Amino acid sequence: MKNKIYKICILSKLIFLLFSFSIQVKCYEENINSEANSYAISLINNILNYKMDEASCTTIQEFIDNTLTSNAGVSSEWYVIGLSQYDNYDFSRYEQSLINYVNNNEIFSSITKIKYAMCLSAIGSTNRYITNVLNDSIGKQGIMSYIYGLHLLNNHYQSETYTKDELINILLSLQCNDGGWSLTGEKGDVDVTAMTIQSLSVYYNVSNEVHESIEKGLVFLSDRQLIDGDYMSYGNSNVESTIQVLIALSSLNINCINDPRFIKNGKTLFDGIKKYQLNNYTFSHILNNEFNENATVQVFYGMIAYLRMNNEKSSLYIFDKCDYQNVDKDVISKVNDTINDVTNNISIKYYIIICIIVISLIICLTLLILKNKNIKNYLFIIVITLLLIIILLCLNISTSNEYYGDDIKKDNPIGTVSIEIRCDTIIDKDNKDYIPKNGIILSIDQWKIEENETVYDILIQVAKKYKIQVDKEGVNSNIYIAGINYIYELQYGSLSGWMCYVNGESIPISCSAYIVYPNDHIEWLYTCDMGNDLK
Amino acid sequence: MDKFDEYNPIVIFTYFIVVTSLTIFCFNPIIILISLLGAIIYFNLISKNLRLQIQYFLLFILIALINPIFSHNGSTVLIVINDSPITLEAIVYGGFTSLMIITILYWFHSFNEIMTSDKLLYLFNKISPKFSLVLSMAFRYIPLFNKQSNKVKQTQTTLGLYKDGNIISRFIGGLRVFSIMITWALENGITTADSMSARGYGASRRTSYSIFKIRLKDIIVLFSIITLTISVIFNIVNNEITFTFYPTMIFPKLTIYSIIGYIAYIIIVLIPSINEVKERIKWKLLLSKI
Repeated sequence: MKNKIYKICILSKLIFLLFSFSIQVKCYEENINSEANSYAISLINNILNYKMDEASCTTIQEFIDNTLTSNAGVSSEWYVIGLSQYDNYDFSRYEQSLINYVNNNEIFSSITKIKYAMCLSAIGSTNRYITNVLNDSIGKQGIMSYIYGLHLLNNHYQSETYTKDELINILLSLQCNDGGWSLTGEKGDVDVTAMTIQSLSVYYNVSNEVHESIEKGLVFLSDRQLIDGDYMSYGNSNVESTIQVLIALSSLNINCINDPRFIKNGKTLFDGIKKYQLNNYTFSHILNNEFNENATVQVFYGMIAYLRMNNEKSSLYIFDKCDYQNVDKDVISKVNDTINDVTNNISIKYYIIICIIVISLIICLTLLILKNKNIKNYLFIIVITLLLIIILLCLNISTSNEYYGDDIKKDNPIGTVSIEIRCDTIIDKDNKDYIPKNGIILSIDQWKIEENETVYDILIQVAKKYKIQVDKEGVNSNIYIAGINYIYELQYGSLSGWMCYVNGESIPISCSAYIVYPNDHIEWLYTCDMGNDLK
Repeated sequence: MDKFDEYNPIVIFTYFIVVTSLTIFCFNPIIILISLLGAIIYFNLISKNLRLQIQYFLLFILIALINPIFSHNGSTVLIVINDSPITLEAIVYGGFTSLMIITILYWFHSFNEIMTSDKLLYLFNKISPKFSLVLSMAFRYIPLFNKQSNKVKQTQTTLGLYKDGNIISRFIGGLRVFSIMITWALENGITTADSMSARGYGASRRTSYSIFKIRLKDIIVLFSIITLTISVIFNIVNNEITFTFYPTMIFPKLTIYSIIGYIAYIIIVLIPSINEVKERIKWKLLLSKI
């Protein structure tokens, strides 16, 4: 009897073990020979197991249905893109959750919108949101929105605003002289270069121009590789840049452990990645730092990209499950949006005016109830109401959604200026949330200007575009800027406040009287000592 | 126990100074609301002036609306008027500033009712008899001004001034009465000064007499007020109840200390009302026994 129970116990344990490790076993069977390959597989499994342990789930499907679904739109997107390209899972619950999220939340960033569309496309959704994003968001937010947009179009979608060729040409034209690409400026950045190559990789063997351009980019990336095999971006060597290069190479079918261009002192990209590994499953952003979620998820899908190359599958961003033929092309919602915009524009003023009229009517009624029969009283109220309405009609009222974030149309640009808003002087003095750690509130290289625009006009325009709070005092040509980004004058001593420098010299008159010319460099700097601590 | 105005003037004066200064210097929404509640309850117990309270409410709206027009700080933008954002934070800040002012007005109105000039004289005699006289004259001046302006208004009405009864004519009439009152005030001031010097004011050192004594219950109440105040001040010093309005509203976390502070302040604020209610119940009971 005892023996029997013992046997059953062992049997059930074996079955349990088989079940729990079936995923790992399946992957191990396919590729055992390559060391890098097994490292990649073990990393993916370790990260997944760690994430599942954290959420106390037993299967990956459960992890998708619980943790990823509840975090849809917040933190799960890259895991979902990775997992959907890794194996067959059911994402229907997650899909519903993400669609709810995008419908119920106002998303300002075009890049984030395209990211959601990519995610939906990766899990085989046919929701209308993809079409909306294709038509509205591509190219709205600089180079990253072109790159992500091209990823989407590479999956055979059609966009009304851009064709594939247009996007390719734009990306090629944005290449810097050193062979790289960058968000701003003339010097290539490793991350952006790698990501651009990822999106252009599909045309590597199709178009000669793209081929040449990518070759230049590869030379750039090869030059930038550090002696440990990793990469540096914005002054720090980090794991994310290294991972992006790995994905770029994998999408070009270049195996980074064989290619001599990407081996420095015998160290490959994988050695570069291992540097940042904290334990079996977590990674830090920079060397010897603490656990970083972002770094870990990038390693996760980077390894998947590498595996896909080894398994002769398409690159990471060509989605297996993509259902581009059946995508919902209904554009009714877009038309509705524009109508809503127009009505919104009228309505806010409209509502305030109605409110005022209702209030004055209530006052009139109370007077009537109190049996006040003097006609002059009513006349007085009517005159006050009319005055208020006239003042309201003269004012330019808009809601915050209408006001912020829109592109400003410039019909006759005469050139560009660069503008910087910085608060370096106070980063050590305070650690409030709204003070940026590096002291840079805004830095734009090229901002189109028209004739006779003042420093103040430019400030208001960029504040409008990038949703920065600006508090001004005064009118017309006597405007004084009291606060930018919640940092106010007199907040850090009696000599503190915002100062404006154009081409390195502080302007002698009000910012709304100082006219800018092309190629000017405008700086808004926060001083704690009347400008003595700035230059 | 006595009604609150029968305590020693030192207790009453300390009480009002503590309550109003805590309301002003904390600038914490909960403290302001507690203070307002206490002020309204006590005000309605000792004088039922509905008209004044409606005026206070209108004043509240007026002051509350001014802040968002001039302050554009705050991260929750509601609407943008001519490139200037109107933010939720500025509106809330304006609302609480305005509430604070109304609360202080309520307290001072009650203070005026309780603190008669003989009490003020008693309080400041030991410091400076001259100062206490000037103070009591100044306090007397406001009701005197009101009384006189009513008189003038009535005279003007009999002369046929306010017969239209509309806002514009009332406004013009009010201006006229005000101008008359200024003349009267200046004249009255000179008359008072003349009369005082004629009666020998300033000829020798002033003496004064007062009927107030410090009794045991005064000491008990004074001691409890001071103890409770220290527990609130402890919270202020330790930043337990500091409310941040800009750029986003951050409410301080409720800790044991801050809850004790709030409860202490509730007790402080309700002391006069409790006294008043207790006294009334006692009175009713005594009446029913007869």
